[in-house]
Amino acid sequence: MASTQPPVSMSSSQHEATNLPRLVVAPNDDSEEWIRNLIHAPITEVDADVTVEEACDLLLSRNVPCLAVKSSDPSPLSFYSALFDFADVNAFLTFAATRHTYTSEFIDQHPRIAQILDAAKAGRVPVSLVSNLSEKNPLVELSHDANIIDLLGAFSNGVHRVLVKAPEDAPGPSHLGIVTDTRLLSYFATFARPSTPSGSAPSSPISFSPTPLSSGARFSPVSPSIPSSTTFQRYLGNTLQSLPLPSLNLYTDVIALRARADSVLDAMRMMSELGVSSVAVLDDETGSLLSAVSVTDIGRFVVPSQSNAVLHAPLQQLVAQIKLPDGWADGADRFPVYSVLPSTTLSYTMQKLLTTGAHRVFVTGDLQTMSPPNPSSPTGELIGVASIVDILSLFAILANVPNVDPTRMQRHRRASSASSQGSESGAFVDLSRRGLLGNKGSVHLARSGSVWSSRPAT
Amino acid sequence: MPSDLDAQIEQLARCEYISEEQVKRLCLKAREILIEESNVQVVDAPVTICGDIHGQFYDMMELFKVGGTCPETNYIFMGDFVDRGFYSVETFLLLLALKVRYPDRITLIRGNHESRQITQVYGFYDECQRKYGSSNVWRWCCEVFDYLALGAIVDGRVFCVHGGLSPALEYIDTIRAIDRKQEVPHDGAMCDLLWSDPDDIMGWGLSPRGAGYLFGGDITKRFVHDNAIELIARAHQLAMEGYKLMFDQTIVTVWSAPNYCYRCGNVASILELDEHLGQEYKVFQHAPPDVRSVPLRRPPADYFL
Repeated sequence: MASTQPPVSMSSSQHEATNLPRLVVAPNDDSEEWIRNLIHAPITEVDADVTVEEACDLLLSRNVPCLAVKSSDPSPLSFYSALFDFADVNAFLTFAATRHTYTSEFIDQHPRIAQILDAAKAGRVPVSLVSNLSEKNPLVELSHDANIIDLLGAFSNGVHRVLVKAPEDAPGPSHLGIVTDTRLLSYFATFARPSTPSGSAPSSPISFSPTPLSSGARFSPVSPSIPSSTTFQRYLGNTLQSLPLPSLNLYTDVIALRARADSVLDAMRMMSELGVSSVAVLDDETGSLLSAVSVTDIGRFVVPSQSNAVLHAPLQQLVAQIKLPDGWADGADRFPVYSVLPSTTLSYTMQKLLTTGAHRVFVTGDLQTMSPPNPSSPTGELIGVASIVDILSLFAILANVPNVDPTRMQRHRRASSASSQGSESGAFVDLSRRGLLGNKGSVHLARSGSVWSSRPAT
Repeated sequence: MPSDLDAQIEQLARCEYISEEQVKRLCLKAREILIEESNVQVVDAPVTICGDIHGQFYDMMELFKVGGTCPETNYIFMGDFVDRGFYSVETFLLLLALKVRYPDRITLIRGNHESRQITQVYGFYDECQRKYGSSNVWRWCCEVFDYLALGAIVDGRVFCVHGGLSPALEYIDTIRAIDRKQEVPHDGAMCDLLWSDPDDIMGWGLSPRGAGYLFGGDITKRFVHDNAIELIARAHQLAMEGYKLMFDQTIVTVWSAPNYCYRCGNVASILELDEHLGQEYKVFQHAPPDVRSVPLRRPPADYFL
């Protein structure tokens, strides 16, 4: 299948510039409010003073990835004040479980943390205090006439969703709806299908034109949609390893924990403090990739549980709970974790993400490089991650969007997590003492650059 | 030896699991037999073909009532003996003991759940831990899984596989070239055979399961034609009526776990092939509920105790 297609040659930087398709907006009469094509669900909103528990119930019962929190004093210009999603739920639960590790200096310097503590003592934490607690879920809004470059610009910073405002003078709701990263990726995927007769292809406000130096002489100005989609298809035929994906070659920095030795709380802390929404789960003995846990799983299974004991349960038990309902109704069990190889094409990776509904796939080592293959661990080593937002950021680069940086919020989060804990306590040092840092073999903990390079190695 | 094995079979048939030491010896003997089998085991009709069991021991007893006991009836079990149900240990060990006792009367082929990775997630590992207090039994069973054939062919005309087809495998003969004695890979031909599903599409599609492919009627009919067979029998997907024929009866899903997960309300079936390869589908319901056959609830996870 896709992984056997020959990749486009990207051997040198000079050639790169001439082989990359360029993404430009082609103005046409239908481009006004073209963005409506990408909105497929209404916004689920919630009042600012609703409790965190009620807001989480709403996320679960409506089965939506986020809520829009209404401003306490809504005006047409700021109807919503913030967003609330499962990353925020996880950040809140983690904070509740680890609040004893926060230094008083940090709390003094962060009024919102102090407010949450006070509200918790009073027995009622409003969702407005917890929205974007994860620092990964900012409210980003675009106007109704935003084009695809504007959209890519928004997603290139790592957000998972964008709210679209209605025209200012239009009656009715203040917003048209939400565009999710998944929806935008599926748009690119359908547009990149093999060329159909131009009559049946949807007219698109974008074109993929090869740069002038390209040798693509088949480009025809008369029916641009056909050769341009071929150019884009060729681009999608690139292997992951030949593309500038930010989290592809992390190796020991991939966020991962052990299935039995590490706990649910360990996973929650890692996701909250390292600014990621999922953790790979590895076999304790072989280090092979078993499964993965996400902030959504935490929201589904930790919150409704009656006992705090679940926090200290081995991660494996949470994985089993997560997988229980999958395939209950149709006997169609799913693979516990979705992965691809560095030699897998971008096109195949996109299809896998969209078909499975996942937000990221893990990248494991090529079997060919392992000889002889370990019979109990044929999966190869865990190399990196490729997420929907990472892929959208590639398209943003094609569109000449400046400052494309999907990991920016992640790095910011790690910096602020590190400063929240004293040198003698805190999740980082605790995990370090328990040997979760720098172990050879199955366990890895991410470090980000200079923030932690001064910490003593264990 | 045979009398010892007969005693074990009798014990397992009462849904009582045998000792760890007995499991170890049983697994070693099973591997000696299985290692001699081909990737696509040749089987003679008449034979009865069964789908997923998933640890539903008492429902498997219903299956034997309907189809006849082994060795009087020849059987092919198309994988997924473990996970989900509460008696994966007893179910698999009984089938294994029958295989060792009557190797020419019962054929076991591998399902996607006969895998270290899957059984750690879907229940078999936990059940072994609970019943034996260690992971040894699980480990030895996983080693047996590695030796299971990937498919079977009855009189050269009915091809049995757990999941479905692979874009890398045009011919059944190509399956014989696979080195099957390994953990089920994440992708590739061996993975596809255990994970793919037929679907109402043309050609191939990625599977929403995250492994294997979806394959359409055109692919199925071409495979049947090119391999000079008349039917692909497979399991892997729930069939509410117990079995489901597709694509002008070139492929059938046989599902043998009634009231799947003790909640789905489906019936189950087996496919009986007579000596002329005449097909008869026998449908059966779940075992009557009693104190042992349907536990009131899943045993609580340890962390709640």
